[in-house]
Amino acid sequence: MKAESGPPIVIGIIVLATIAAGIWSVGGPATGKQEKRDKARMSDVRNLSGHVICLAYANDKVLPVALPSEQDTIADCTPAPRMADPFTQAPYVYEKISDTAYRICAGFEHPELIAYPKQMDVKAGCMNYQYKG
Amino acid sequence: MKSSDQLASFVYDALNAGRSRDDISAALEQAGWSTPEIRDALGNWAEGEFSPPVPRPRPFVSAREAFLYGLMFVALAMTAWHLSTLLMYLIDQWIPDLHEKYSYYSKRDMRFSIASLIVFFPLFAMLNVRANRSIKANAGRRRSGVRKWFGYITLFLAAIALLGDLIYVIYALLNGDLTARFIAKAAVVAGVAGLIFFYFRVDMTEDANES
Repeated sequence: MKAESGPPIVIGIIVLATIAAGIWSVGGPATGKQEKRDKARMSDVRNLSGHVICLAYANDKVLPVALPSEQDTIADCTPAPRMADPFTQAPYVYEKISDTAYRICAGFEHPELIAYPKQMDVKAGCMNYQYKG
Repeated sequence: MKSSDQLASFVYDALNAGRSRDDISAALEQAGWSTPEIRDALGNWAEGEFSPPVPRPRPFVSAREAFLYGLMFVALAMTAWHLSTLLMYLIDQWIPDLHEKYSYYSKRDMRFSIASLIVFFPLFAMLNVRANRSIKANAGRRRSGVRKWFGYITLFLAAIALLGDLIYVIYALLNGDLTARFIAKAAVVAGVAGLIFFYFRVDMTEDANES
């Protein structure tokens, strides 16, 4: 009956080691919460990017230098999206880099995990966008 | 009447009439029955002088066993599947590939696999220990048809997984896709399926030796 104890113990060790490696890799519940907050921030950043394009379109296809506040936004682009991080209340940062490029920054907790690696500046936590007019 | 029933009733009648086993085998052989069929038919009845012939215990199917082995089978299948999935995602992280990126989606799948393993692996381990203990306590359980069926279905699926894995490795080799990442993943499938295959093969072979 040697078959009864050998493989199950080996399988048990493998399964436990894999679960441990998996949890170590994906993180616990706290990491999951951070990712959910980042997801909400990313959604806000994308909405803001759409808002920037709307503002530029209304302004003869010139990127705005700064974003008007939620109350002062022009009529064509209402309602304005959320301008600040809902979890920390820190405002999102819009920067015009050139006539054809801008970026929007947010306090991402894990910017390296955002699903847009080419646009994401991981160190600064900023998404880079191109504006083609 | 099915031919196997005819065979069984013929053997019973012949033994009852006091014919020797050799005579019965010879008669059946002449009638065209194969050697394993004759051996099985005669094996249904205990050897000895007692009349009428004494039946040997035969495989039986019980709902309780179907429940136990069915649950064990599902637990093993889920464990094998999620163990492989989780290991593949870990390999994706450990061996980076420029073509694919690690994202939220893989993290979510990994969490689901971890949760499934936490539920199903202890269940499988517990049922397996229980099944082995019940066989030890009562050797008749070894003859259970349910147990054999689930055992051989498991062997069949493990064999299919191994063969499919081998095909895919050869295909990847020919296609120029045999990267370190691919080899590691193929090894995971071969390892999980191979472990199950050899474990159940030993288990089933012990049955064959016993009967």
